[in-house]
Amino acid sequence: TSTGTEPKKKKEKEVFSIDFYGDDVDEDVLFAPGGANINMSKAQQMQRSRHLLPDDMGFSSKDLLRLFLKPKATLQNRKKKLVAGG
Amino acid sequence: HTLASIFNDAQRTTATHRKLVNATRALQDACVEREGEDGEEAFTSEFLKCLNKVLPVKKSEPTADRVVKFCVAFIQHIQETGVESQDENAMDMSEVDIETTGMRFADAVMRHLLRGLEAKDKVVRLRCCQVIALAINSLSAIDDDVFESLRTGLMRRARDKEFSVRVQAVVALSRLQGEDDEEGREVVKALKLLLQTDPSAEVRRAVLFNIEQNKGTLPYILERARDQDPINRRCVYSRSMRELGDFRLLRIKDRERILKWGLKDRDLNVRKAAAKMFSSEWIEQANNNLLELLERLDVVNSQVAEDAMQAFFTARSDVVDAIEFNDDFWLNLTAESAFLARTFNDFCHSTEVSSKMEDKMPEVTRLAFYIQRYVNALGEAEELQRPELEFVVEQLLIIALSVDFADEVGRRTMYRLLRDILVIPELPEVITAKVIQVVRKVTDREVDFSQTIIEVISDLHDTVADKEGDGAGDDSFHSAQSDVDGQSHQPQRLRSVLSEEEEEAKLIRQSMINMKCLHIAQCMLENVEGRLQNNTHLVNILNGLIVPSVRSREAPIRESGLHCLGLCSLLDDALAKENLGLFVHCFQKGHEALQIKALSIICDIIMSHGLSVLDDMGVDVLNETLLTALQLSESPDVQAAAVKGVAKLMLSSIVTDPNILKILVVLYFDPSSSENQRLRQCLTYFLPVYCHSLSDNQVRMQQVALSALHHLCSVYDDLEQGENMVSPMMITQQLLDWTDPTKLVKVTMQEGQEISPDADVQASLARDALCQIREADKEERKVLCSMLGKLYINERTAAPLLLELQELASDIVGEKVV
Repeated sequence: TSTGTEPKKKKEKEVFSIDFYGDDVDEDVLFAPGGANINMSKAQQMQRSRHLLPDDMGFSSKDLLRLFLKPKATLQNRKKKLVAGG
Repeated sequence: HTLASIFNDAQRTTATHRKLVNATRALQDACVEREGEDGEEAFTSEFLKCLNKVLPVKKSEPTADRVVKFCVAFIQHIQETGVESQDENAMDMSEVDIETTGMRFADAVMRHLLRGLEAKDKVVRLRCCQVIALAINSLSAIDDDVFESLRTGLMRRARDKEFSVRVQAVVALSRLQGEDDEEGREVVKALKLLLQTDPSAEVRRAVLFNIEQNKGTLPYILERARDQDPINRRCVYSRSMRELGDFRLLRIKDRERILKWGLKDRDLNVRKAAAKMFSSEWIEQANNNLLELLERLDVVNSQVAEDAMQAFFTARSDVVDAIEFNDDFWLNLTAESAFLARTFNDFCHSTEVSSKMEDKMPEVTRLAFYIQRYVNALGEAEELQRPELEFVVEQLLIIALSVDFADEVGRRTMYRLLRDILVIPELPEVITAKVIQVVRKVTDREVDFSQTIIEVISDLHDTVADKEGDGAGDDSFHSAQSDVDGQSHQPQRLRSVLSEEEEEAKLIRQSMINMKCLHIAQCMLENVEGRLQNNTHLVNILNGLIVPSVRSREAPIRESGLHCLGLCSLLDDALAKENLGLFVHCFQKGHEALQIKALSIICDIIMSHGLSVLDDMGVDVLNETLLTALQLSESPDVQAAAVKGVAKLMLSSIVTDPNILKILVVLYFDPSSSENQRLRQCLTYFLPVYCHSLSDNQVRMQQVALSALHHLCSVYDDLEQGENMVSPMMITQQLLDWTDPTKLVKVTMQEGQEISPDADVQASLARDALCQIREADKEERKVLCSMLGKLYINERTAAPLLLELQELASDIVGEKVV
């Protein structure tokens, strides 16, 4: 009744609906067995990967801007100093 | 009402389900009333026919989901009401015949669904599992055979090739888990296996949500905090841990691990969930008492407690505002409370809410007093208490590092105190390092700083000399005693034996004090930046302590000396030039740890002074050293250090040799490095940053890309059992990404215009590929051809290059190479 129902109605038309009044489903087709095909392959079943991330070494791009022996001093500082020092 | 119309209504909305369930019940009653057993069977059969129509409807179709819900609601309803009517008629019923309509109905539905568990249509299998999963809990008295068939059927579906079927099977199976009987335990076992090994993240998640939490399953649940899927990882924090209810059920080690994994995760949402868990749930489980919470972690040895507190303060500004540290607090510090104060101080500094902290932290003089108090306590402490006191002192020193030393009186007090502390021979190394950092802060100039440290070193040497004086006293005591023992007839020989022992003790003491002085020197050098030659104290320490140590016959002293010599070399290019050969020698001849140290020093020297410290021969030696190190796959740690060093040098455009870049690319994919996470993770960062930061770098990558690919294709061909490597197709994707000119960091031109992407880089790559196609085998050719379609080539590509491409391509087509 309100204007808000307009789009809703449109949407409802697209809604999927099951026909419960129609013919019965043929159970022989419905339940037709799939055989071994429905299972994961043997190889997949034997697969034992645990799907875990590797140990994170906590690496960050900052590590590439530091000296090994003076990890607190970044190269940015060093360059400034070099410039300042002439 | 007919069943068809009821089902038809049920699919539209769940709101009327209650009404519809009652209507269905009425319908069933009417059938039974009219035709007895036959009527009941007719009703069931009609119901199943309606249900059949839902089974082939694809998953996550809300219409079908609603009908499934309705069916389950009905099964549940007649079970419950069935039981009631059974109770009412209990007197009339013989024991054999306690079956009710509801039970018979449920039994029929389950038998029916069992037929669908192995159906060819995956949707049918999925829907059958779904109905079973939802209904199984309400099946109070189901026939044993049916129950057993359901269990085995579901166990098989947990191995369905469709992950969506497995998800439903897991949900259904989880209703059958339990520790009370063999069957239940078997289900738990199957669920645990799925949680670890199922290839689908959604299946693993379904298990995570549904597996019972107990001692046996908890390790499996915790492990998912490192699941490859970020949603699964997040769910451990936002759901599993909440369901656990009390983090104290975890061992201390597991608390540490779970916090570390979560707070340091690469995915923001995981970090958020972990932070929330810690700052709102764990604190609550610790009676909302921060110290109590910290006591339940191992703050002294923790690698994550710092991040945890940072996350906590960020989330809980209410606590930050309310925190108070009174004198009593400072006078009775424990590991936890010192850590709390320190991390609070860190937090206030990092967020620049220093106003909050000013009245909460002690002023400099007071802080110096507390440091002294706990250093004294440390000196008097029993062995067992030392680690905690050490930790307390360390926290106070970290606080001191952030203090403003504008107050001259306070600064001097602190300086005197720290200087006195440094000459304590037993001072632990961690504390020494921190004290020296603070000393650097309270001294204005580097010259004054190094002078102070030199004095400390000389004082320490004096202490040894004093002790030697005491040693002489001991000696005479021994002699006296031997007289009493009546061995005075051999005084000469005895004396020489004792003096040998004495000699040995003296040597040990000396090398201990030497090690200590070297450590102090090292800490000092780490905090110095100016030129070595401008600071006579440094020159003195180099000549008086470091150079003799490098020549020492004792390995630890020699290696410590080398470290200091390396640090000095960073401050002086002449010294660096002089000693590079020595460091290269150490790399060639040393054990692994020394090799790593030597490599680090060499790389740092080149980083600090550039290639100018090398002559022509030196550059060759450097390249050779780096190449050797990069290929030391039998020493993964050395190799990883080399990769990191080379990465730095290349990022600074100091090392530009394309061969080295090629080796890095090959190493990144080579199966020999698949276990070397340090190496791999370094390259994961380095390679894109390198290629996308500078157009010259990208060109360099283009130059080596195809020869690296060629090499890797042959490695892939010869892959042996158990070796891991991504496919050449994936490698090509990476190479394309690295050489993609549109990913280059945009450098803004003077006039504020962006440079348009270089259209020649990947055109050159195309040329390389076209040339290589002739020599490539079938597999490689396939990869190269797939690459050709994805390159960035356009009208701005240089004309001659385009012409060349056209010729090469038409030749290849003409000769039918592909």
